[in-house]
Amino acid sequence: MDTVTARMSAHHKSCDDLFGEAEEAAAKADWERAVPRMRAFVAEMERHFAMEENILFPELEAAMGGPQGPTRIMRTEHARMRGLLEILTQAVEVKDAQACLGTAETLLILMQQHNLKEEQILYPMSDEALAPKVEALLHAMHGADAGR
Amino acid sequence: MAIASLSFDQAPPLAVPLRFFLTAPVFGVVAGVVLLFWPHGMPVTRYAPELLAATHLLTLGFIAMSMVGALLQILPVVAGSASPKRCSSGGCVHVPLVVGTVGLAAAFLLERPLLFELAGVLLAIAFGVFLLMLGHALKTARAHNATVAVIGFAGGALLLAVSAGFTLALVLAGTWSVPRWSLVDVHAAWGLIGWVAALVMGVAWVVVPMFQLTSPYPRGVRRRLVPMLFLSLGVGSAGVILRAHVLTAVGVVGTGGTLIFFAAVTLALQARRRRRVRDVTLDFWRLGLACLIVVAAGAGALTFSRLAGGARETVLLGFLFIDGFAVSVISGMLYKIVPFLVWLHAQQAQTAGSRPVGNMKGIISDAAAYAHLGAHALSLALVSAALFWPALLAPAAVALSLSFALLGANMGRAAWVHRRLLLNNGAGEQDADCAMRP
Repeated sequence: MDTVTARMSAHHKSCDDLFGEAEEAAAKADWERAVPRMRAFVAEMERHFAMEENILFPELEAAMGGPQGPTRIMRTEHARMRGLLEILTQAVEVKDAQACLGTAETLLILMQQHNLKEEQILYPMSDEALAPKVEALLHAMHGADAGR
Repeated sequence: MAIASLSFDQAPPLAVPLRFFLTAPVFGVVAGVVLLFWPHGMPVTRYAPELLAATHLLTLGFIAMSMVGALLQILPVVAGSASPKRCSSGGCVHVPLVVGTVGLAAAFLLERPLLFELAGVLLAIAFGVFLLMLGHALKTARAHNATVAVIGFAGGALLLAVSAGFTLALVLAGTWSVPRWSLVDVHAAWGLIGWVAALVMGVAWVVVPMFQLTSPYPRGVRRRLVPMLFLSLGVGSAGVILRAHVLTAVGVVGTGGTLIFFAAVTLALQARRRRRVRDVTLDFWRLGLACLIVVAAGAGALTFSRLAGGARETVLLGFLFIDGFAVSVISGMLYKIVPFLVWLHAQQAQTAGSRPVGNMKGIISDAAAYAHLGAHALSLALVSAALFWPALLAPAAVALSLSFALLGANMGRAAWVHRRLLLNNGAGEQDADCAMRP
């Protein structure tokens, strides 16, 4: 059976791939490539946040009886990442390699420790707490994804 | 599952790991100074007092200091468990570890029984408290993965190494008398391999894929490698204690083979990483893993070839393990952990909705980190050469101190940025923002 853990962890990996390509292009000052790669990465990150914030987290909060620690902290970390994504986008647009690489490094660590917590705790917790409706949930998340 | 009780916000205040990270390089500097006073013409053996003092300044003062600091920080993230409430500042581990390490180095240099007793007791307290904290964290851990299991294994090895070390301190103080030479090998093997190498492996399972975007380590590697290492260590230790040379040889080959396999898999994963930018952590790790391969292969060769004397070679392998492998990978990790924590705490200290502050490379620049890497590589080469050409000892000792001084300066700069950000918080947000930009 498909699980939140499997599906969302795989999406983390595809975001990582886009990040790696965008960062490498920026490091080489290949702005022709860096700008579209960074846009693709930012768009994919936003899509991931939306799947979680609009569908997964509310379901989890409902199952838990209101907004709780884990989802609240995940939302806070999303906000931090959005801040960095904004700086990163600007840095790429103005071809500022130094700001780009420093911000990318910071975002990478923030993103990876966030993913680790989701993959090891939050997603398995969702699979358990939302067991009867995981299939429907994944379908809805995929729908939101395809609808963009 | 107690969902409602789950909280992700369990990281300790930055001052907790930072006090360990700031003192660790100082011990490295002192180790270089001790080597500077090594009398000329002395035979190179692992039992030379200056060498024993320098070794423990590095293993306790730098390696254990950094690892304890990092574990107190990362346990809540990796193990998903709460940081211990008592001793929330880390001081009840930090203070006895600092004083005990200084005391032990002084005991070796001055050969005073009382100092051995004092250092033994202080270090037993430091590690005893730390192991209790570690045990509590692992017991309440929510995530059960290969890394959590390895931390448990490594904790057991540390307990063994510290017990053997404590016994040796009392033997040297003249209080106890047991056959100490086999105990020295057991102490060193479980401390360096069972605690240090195993912990590096367990941490690698998480951080290598995370920082360099590599594929994950194969599941079989993550689950079996550390148990194999411990099995080999056990066999080798039995061989040493029972004076059964075949068992010792099997243990050395098993341990060396496991370590080489770990280094080779890691280097192969890193070679196929998806993050292709220049990265100081990656370069420190590659240097460290290369040293690990040399040490493991060299230890095997020494066991079988019975090189005439072999004392210099043994010291060289020990140095390459401690400074070449362990210090390199730890330094690489510090360049990720420290700037990130400073950045994160600055973020948390900011008011909601305000602009994010700077980035990690504004806290420790690439140039400063690479200067340290260069000095570190130079000191490795010079100290190794000085074991065979004593005329190089003075420049080698200076290079060793300089390398740790550069690391200390980088850690100090991060701590200074952190302090300024905290002072400026609210009133001088704009200043803080500028301070962190490269």
